[in-house]
Amino acid sequence: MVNILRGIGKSEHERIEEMLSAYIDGELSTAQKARVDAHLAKCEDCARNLRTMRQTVSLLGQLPTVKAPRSFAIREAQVTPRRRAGVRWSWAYSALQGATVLAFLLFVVVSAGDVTLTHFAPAMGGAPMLAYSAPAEEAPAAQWITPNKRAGQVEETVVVEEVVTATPAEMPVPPAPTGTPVPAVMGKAAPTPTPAVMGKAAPTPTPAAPAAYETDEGTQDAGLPTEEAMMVMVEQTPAATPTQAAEEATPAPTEEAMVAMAERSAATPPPPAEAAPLPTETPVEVVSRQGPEGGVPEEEHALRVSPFANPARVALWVIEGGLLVLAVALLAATLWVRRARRQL
Amino acid sequence: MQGMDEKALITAAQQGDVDAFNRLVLAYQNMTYNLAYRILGDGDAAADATQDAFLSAYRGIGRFRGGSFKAWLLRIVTNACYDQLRVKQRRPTTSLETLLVADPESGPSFAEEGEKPEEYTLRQELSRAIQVGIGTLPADQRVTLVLSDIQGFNYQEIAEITDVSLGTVKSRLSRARARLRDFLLARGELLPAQYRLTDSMVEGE
Repeated sequence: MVNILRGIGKSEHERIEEMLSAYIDGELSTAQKARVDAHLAKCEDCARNLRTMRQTVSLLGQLPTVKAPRSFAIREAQVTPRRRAGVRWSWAYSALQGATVLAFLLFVVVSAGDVTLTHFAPAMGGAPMLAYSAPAEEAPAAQWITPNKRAGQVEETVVVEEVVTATPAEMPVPPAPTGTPVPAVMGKAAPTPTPAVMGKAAPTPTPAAPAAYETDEGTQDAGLPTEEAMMVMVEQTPAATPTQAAEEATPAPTEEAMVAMAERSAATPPPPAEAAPLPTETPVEVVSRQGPEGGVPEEEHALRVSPFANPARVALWVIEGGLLVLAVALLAATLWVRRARRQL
Repeated sequence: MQGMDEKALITAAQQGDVDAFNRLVLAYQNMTYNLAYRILGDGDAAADATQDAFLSAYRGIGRFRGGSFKAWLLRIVTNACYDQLRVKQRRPTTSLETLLVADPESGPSFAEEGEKPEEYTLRQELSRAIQVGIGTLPADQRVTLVLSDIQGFNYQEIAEITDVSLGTVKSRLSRARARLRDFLLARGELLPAQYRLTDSMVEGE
């Protein structure tokens, strides 16, 4: 039927030409064959086309048979490797996951220690703070950790609980955290001994901070556990160094990270907590500054001394950088393995 | 391999007997590889397609419901070849001249028993030239031409293997042959002298 339709509008010559192939194979009806024969008798073009096509078919038939270069027999391993490979991959995945979390935690601990020391030093020696740049440097760190959060969530939470339960014993009980908008974190933050931290955590009125805090409860906000972990890490260190300067300084980076995230999601203006208080300031000042003004950062107050002046600090940076690179590399490897495992 | 023997092997393979399936592989691998090689014109790609085809055949043998095992298998092979052609298309296309230089039938051997060396060389030259011509055809025409004129299947079998109507087989084959003929006429120098197509009334055999 299709062939008949196709034939409409074509010359007899063209139609005959299309039948030559079937003619060679003897696949034409008697009537068709007679028609082709009649045409071939008077059309030299078609006769030539038939000859050359026959030669072509004949050449194809003379092609040597190519033998299989090897055995294509199926091996058991080819058809049942899925499960075994899957087990191996999942083992590698778990190991990589653990290593990634560990690297990130180590990085956070070292960074927190770094920040603490930086602010602790002036309190002891009386020198002005060495590097205010520390928080700025920490902010990306906090962000880096976020992608890993899901993997490391469990471990981090565990650490948090431990530390939190540990700290209150050693520290004076602070004023009750009444009026705090975020019960979840406040519950944990409550034991913090200094009013400085309380002052920052408690009065945060902007939705950004509560939103982030609430995520700690259930929703998987990327920013939070990191922040929490860092806060806790920080709190851990002050136990040995009960200076207010240390207490004050450490939350700053994490808060800043939160702000960065809040801004990225176009959520809210920066929370007041953003104002990273200077170590020389008293807690009272911090609270008052953060209250009504809505937390305008007063970074200009910071004394900026070149951090490169201190070789120990540079060495610490190298270590931090190395840890961060290691952690990111491990994260990349983990993600790669996860993808590879899915493709199995 | 015919009849009861093959049937028993298929049944065993369907129950997960790899050895039984491998006896089928051994029986069909030359035909399978040859088909893939002629369609793809490349030894490595043909080996890949053959391996892929046998693996999918093993995995899907539970779905084989009688009929011609050969046709069923060749359908899988043909599909594996289409996959390979698609992969090939994504790579930069090789020109005719590169094909001529770079396709010296590497790998596969096809010496017939008792064949003289000069005959072998001649057939190799012929094979190479025609393979270049086949390579100029669209995939559907290529597959149909190889199944018909190299593997020797009839229209009905080809329709079954390629899952198209008889009319489609007919027209694809007609166009493929005409196109290859025109190529060989235009590039007659590719063929050894005694194989060249002749326009004269006296056929040059």
